[in-house]
Amino acid sequence: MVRTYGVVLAFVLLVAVVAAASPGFATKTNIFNLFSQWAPAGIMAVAMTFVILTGGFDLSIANGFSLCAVTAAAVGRTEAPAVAFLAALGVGCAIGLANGLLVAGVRINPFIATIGTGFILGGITLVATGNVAYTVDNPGFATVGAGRWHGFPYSGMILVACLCAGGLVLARTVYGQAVYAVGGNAEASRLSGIRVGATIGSTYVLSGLSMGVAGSITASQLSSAQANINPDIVFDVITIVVVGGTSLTGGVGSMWRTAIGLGIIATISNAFSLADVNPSYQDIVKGSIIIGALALDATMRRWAGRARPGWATRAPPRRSGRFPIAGDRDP
Amino acid sequence: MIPITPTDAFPSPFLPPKWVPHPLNRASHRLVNAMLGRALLKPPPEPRTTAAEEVLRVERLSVPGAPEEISFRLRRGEIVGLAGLVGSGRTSLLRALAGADSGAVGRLVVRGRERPWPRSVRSALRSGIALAPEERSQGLVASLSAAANVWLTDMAAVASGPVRRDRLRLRRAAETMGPLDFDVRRLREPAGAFSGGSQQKLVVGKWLHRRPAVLLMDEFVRGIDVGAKAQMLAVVTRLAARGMSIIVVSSELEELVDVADRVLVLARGRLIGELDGAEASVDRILRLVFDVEAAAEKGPAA
Repeated sequence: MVRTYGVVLAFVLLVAVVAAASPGFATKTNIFNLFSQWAPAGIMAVAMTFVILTGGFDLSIANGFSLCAVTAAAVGRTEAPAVAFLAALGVGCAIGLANGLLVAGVRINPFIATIGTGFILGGITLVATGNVAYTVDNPGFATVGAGRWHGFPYSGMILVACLCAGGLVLARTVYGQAVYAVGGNAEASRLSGIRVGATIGSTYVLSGLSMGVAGSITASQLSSAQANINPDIVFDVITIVVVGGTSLTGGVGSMWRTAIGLGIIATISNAFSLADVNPSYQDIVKGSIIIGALALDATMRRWAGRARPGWATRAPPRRSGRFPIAGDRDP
Repeated sequence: MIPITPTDAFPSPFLPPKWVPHPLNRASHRLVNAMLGRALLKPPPEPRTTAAEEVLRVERLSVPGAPEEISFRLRRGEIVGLAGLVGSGRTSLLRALAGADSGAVGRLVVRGRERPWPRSVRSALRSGIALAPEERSQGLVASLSAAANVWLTDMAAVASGPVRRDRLRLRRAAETMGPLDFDVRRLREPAGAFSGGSQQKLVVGKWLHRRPAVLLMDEFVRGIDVGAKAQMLAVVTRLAARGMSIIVVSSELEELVDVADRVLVLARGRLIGELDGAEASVDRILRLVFDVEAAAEKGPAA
């Protein structure tokens, strides 16, 4: 129980401590602002959950997200906002397809493949913009990003909708089951007749789409976009997914964990801002959190492995060399 | 092989009150019954003479790494054993047939229809060939529940379109696994938490509801206790009686000989012999194999 839900307890305690320490935290305005501020990262974390569950990684999201934002802003200068956002989604989808084909089709290690595509996308964005920001004058463009309904930002609604949709897909659909199966043991899934390549590739397409949505929101929030908007966002997104308890080896995790992780990271970030702490200290803390969360995860898995019978009696798997990503490793 | 362990002499009271046909040869089981003073075990069924139609024909199968082409046939309801030493190419053959390994070429006729040689597991499944792999770690996703594992091979059947129906899945899994003497109350537990025998039942059970024409069972009694072994052998016999054709591989030749109608003997990637039910014995298999092995040893030296 503690192992499964300990992170919820940690989150609740954290919120309590921060609310007590900074009176400005627990106000409607501040919380709603947090939703708006973390919507892009949160939406990409939803898709990243799928990717990590299959045992993969998408390190191209920082540059992909910038490219999508630039696309939205560029198109938004002349076309209707809806067309601009669709263009951004299209670009994101294309990025996702490219990543998916490289990882699942060509079978390149996802780390390397997505670092590579990340560089390419960064270059494309710089070339396309000439390192100049695109600004949009159309006020309608800013509605999605900056608009609110009774104070709650539209971008926050999109975030919540994505979290819920992603969670339902993971927990209740055949596709979600395939994601868990492939992440838990790719070879056994293949031998059971599951389309492992399509499952893995599709998670990267989802990641690409999330870049499109997140990019649109950011462009809309600032009514402008440029290359290299937030290069550190990839670490934030991965931290969000992992802190919540989703395993990096794949096959274990859920969307509610990503939601909790988002809450934890957003709260800590906000606590620092409210206390007016030097941003560099934030980086030290963030790094410590990542290491701490992963160390805790690894330790708990070892304890669980010792306690349960049956794990230790498995014969070492015969590798067919087909899917080096995820699969038959000990959790 | 005479069972003298307590498991066989004193069956658990929780076992269902039916006799599991035990795969002993007739002399041994009479001895055991005499020792125990009661008829604990029924004699194995008489060897079946299958005049059924041909369900699988493999011609000129060339597996990468094998020196020779292999051809064989399988009839409906027949159990064919693949015997040989470790490394003789049994698993490669099964995997090639099931589409698990690519690179094999050959002619395949399933149920009278010529099919392209399966280049993927899905392709083999479409032709009606399913594989229960050698390693249990390849046959199950340990982090998923047992029920999920059972229906992993046909997720759409326990779903309404894209939406899973987990309660239905649990029920159907219980229907499938119950007759295998699997504790259906534990179907929700992760598959990695079960004993070897139960895991083996899951590995086999997950194909039963798909009713493949040919089921390939690789090392189907390895690493499981004697009671579970007897149950597994009974399962194989029952499946064949219902019309499924089965190819079994086992390094435990006694089990293989007792359950198979016919035994194909492999050595160093070559099909060196085919023994019919009555004449198949561990002795003859080993003699065939070691003849080849001895010749191979002498060959390079000569």
